[in-house]
Amino acid sequence: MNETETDKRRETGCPSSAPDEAQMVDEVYRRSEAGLHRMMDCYGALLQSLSMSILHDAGEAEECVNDTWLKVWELIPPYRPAHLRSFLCKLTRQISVDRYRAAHREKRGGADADLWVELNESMMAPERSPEDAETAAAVREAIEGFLLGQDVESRVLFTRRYFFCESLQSLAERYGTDPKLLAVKMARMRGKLKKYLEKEDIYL
Amino acid sequence: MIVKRTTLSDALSELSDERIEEALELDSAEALRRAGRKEKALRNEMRSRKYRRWLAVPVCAALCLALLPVCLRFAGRLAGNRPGEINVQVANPWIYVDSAADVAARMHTELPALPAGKTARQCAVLQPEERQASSMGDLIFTDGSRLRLVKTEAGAEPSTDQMARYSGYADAEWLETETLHGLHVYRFRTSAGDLAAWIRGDLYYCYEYLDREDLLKLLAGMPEGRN
Repeated sequence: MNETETDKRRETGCPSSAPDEAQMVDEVYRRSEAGLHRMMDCYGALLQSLSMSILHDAGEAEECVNDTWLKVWELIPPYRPAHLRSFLCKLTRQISVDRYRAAHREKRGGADADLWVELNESMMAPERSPEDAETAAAVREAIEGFLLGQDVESRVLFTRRYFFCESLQSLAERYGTDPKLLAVKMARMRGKLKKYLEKEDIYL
Repeated sequence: MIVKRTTLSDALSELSDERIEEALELDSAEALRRAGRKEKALRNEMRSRKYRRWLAVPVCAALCLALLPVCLRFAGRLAGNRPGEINVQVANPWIYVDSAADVAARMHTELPALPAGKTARQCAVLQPEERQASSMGDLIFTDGSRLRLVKTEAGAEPSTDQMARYSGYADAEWLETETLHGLHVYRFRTSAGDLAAWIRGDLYYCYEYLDREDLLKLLAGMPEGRN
């Protein structure tokens, strides 16, 4: 495997082919640790990079990825994801975002916050009310609708920037464009999204 | 509803598998360009398909209108008429060509009476509604003779058989020939006094050039009344 292929694999995970993914899911479904290890080999680097983009801390990111594997082991079975790679990305993103929020709340809370964290570990993973989940689902649906109306370039840039939290510099290098131009493009897209959401009666 | 920033972030975490896979697959400038071209082509195709659907209606309607005369003519042939047989009627101010099927139908129709007070020459310039009221297919002269303009095969003179078929008599005799706007007009008379004119030329010339004035000129040169 040459260097470019290795880089690609690190970024996007194993070559995404449905039979391979299904096989890995099957193995974990049958409680095979070997299956989980194969997943780690394939997607570990991708998830680490995603978590790093959110937390900017290698150690924290590694912990998030480990939490992801634990969550996968808990969820499968009974859950059987149709798209393993995106399922893993979603889990890692949510875990990393939760950790980021907890860390920031901790900072805001001052020294006493450590005590509370020690006292109640569950605070690290904030609970979401059913109303929040319902609202998030409505917003997600609106965002999906907005993205469907955009061209493929805008969709990919949006997802890479706001789901994978990739930096503008990295995006510009990846797609061979100027970071400033990209920033303008993203600002316009945010403006369009805001208008679209307002039309759907969603205000930020 | 007003949503918190955290809710927006949570919503993004639940983005569809399709969007995430798309972003992961299109991880280079070249891949993105290729996908962009493909999507653009697809959108254009969809758009043109939509337009094509809308265009189909007027195009079909225009085609139907264009094919209608051909179909009528074909129906006339099926009804037993020879190709090139036409029935020229007088309309004000243009002569128009009726369907070939009418020729056969009118051949055996009893000659209708001329509207009261009209002579043959006046008859030729009757208003369309008057002609319709008298149900005339041909130009009717006061003595009951009639004028029918018939196109023959290119370059051929009408045969006695042809004349007989149209006039109903076998002893038709040639009167004279003249050229009118490049059309050769043959007139003939039968023992019963039927009078007909044969035009050798193109059907469309006939349609195009024989207007009301031409027809009057043609009629002026014809003997009136039964001989």
